[in-house]
Amino acid sequence: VVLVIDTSSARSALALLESPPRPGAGRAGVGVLAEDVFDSGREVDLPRRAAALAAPGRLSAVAVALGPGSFTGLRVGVSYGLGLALGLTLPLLGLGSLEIQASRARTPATGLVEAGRGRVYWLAPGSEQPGQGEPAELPREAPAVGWLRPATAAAVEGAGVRLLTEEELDGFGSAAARLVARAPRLDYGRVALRYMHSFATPG
Amino acid sequence: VDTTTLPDVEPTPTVTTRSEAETEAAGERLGRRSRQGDLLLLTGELGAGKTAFVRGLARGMGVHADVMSPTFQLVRVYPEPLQLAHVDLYRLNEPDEQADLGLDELLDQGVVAVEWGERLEPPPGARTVRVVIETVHRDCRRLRLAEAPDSWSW
Repeated sequence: VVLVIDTSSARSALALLESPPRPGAGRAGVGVLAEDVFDSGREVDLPRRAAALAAPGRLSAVAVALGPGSFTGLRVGVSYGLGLALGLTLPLLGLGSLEIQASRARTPATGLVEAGRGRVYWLAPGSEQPGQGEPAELPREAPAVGWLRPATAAAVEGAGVRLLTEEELDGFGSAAARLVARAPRLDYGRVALRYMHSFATPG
Repeated sequence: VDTTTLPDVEPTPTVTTRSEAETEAAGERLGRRSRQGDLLLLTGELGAGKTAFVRGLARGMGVHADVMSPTFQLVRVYPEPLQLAHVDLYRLNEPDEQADLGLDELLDQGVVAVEWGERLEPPPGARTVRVVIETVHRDCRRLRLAEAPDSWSW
């Protein structure tokens, strides 16, 4: 089974996926053994939550969301995933946090992740280049999906971008299952976070 | 950064201090009015008193821990009562190393004070306060608010 870890945004998630995937994996709920979605915070006990999903000995791979997203959150989740993979000698797979969110939608949608200071990272449907900025700068052609803080979500809707409701979305595990099959395998020693920031160096 | 070309509050408010303790006291006055999201960029040569200023800033914010220069750690975080992140860019070599500081997130969590702040271009929308510390002679310093929201003064 594959353990998926995403600690990039205002909510975090773990999922346990069947491996190898059975036919039909990627359809809502197919191949998803368990998932755990929780608020990101200072004391996110990933080992305890992961152990509640599966005994480490059952794992055959670990998949981590590489970002973009929370500076601290990404370090916590990716470090834990890397440690598990290293310790158990398992393949480590990399996922995009924006792709995970967009994959939760059943129709084309813009994936969103909290970027700090009220800003968001986004990935528009069909685009490969993520953006970052104020909610007012979001592309408005498609509805959006993301785990945002309440104030950020309100600003996104205030900018005229509809946020899909949980009822309109598939679960985290289903979205991850759609992406894991073609996720690149990472070198333990070369795990690069997809971190974007808004500060620059003059000159 | 040529601070003379930055958008100043006119006339540029300055204060002159005659000792390190007075520089600290000036920092303390700004610390008392600091709030989450404030980005203080400090400019001044080695020995100008940037760390002393931040020590005062911390005291004004109610931080009880001892403030030391973060030169070798890049960032020291004092979580309480309002989080102060004390950043030193002196040893920052590559521009990309800034990505390893997480400044956006630190601003969400509290106040950020940056030594060698002229090496940083703050993003639009950040509440930026630029403090320039100039050595007049010996222990005498001139502190200048080169950029600040209108309500800020010494």
